[in-house]
Amino acid sequence: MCFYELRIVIEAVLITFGVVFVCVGYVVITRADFRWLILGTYLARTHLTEIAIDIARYRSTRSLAHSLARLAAPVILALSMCLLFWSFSFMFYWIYPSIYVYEWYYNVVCLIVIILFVCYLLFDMSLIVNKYPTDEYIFAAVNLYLDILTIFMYVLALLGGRK
Amino acid sequence: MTQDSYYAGKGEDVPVNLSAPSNQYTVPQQQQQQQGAYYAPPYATQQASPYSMPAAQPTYMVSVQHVDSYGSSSHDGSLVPCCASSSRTFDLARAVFVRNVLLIVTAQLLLVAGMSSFFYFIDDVREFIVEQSYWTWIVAFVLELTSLILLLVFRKKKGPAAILLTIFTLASGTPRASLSLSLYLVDSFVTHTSSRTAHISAFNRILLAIFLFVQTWL
Repeated sequence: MCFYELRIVIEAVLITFGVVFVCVGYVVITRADFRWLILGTYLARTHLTEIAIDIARYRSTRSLAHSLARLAAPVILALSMCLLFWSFSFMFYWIYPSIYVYEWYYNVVCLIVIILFVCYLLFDMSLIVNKYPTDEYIFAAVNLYLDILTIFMYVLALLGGRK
Repeated sequence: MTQDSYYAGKGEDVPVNLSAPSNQYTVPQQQQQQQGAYYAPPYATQQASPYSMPAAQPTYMVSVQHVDSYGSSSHDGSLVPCCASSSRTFDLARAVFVRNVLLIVTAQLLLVAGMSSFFYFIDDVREFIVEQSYWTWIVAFVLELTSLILLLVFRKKKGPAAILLTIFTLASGTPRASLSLSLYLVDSFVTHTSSRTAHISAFNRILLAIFLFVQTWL
């Protein structure tokens, strides 16, 4: 077992704090709502007719932004499930062979996980700024902490994996 | 709206002019184009539909999505029209809440940084990591998951939540602080060991997403 160099760790800390500072600052200042990233774009629709109107509008316009927004929540959920099962495979590393045949594969996986948890960070911050009841700050802090820690670990993996 | 369904309720609530019920479907053209407002059908305002959220406020509301104004929180019962983007109000309780959250997260990250430097800089502790059995990490993961689920249950109670937060931070910080800075060499190929702690994060996220989805739609 060997450790990362201190320079790489400090780089990862700085990059993580930059990303987190930008995301948290943006959400706190603008109070933007990113719940649609995780819960879907039909979130604010309270009745099925509204969803039907939304679908009709989407079929008439077919805008790219609307398509991407509709895809975001299922893609993020699927990626989370993939991450879950992929990381279960690491618990049995003495059974499974390494799937990292290529160097770029590992980097791509790390990038995808970083983007995923940045989405979750935005989601959590928009919940904190808009929606949480104001007596649940411990539970809110735990979610934010897990997001930041995971982003840091995968930034570290991305930086440490390079030669 | 009940206290438990605040996380993912309506986007914004806008009161309808009650004096003109015949105008319920006529939306001002500018407002409809800019904000995509949909008036709720009248039967949805009079009887509880199985597809609608329970509402504590008077239900003459309009759900508006993609409005960048969150002046009124959805659980304070105030009927503040939110369409005008200049109607942002300063919520002192919300600001104190955000400050508390950011302070707690800072304290947790400082604690994990301290544990990481403890594992990183002291050579005896480095050797102690290598000698650890697999059961140590299993106990840490079980403690972390258990305290997380208990936090989800007891999130309203300050004392148990604080104790569980401490347990959770220590139990989640130990494997991350010791493993995330280290590398394994498997068949001359470098594998990042912190990938082995990823299932906790992924499990937490999926758990919370299911929780919010159930609170939104059921």
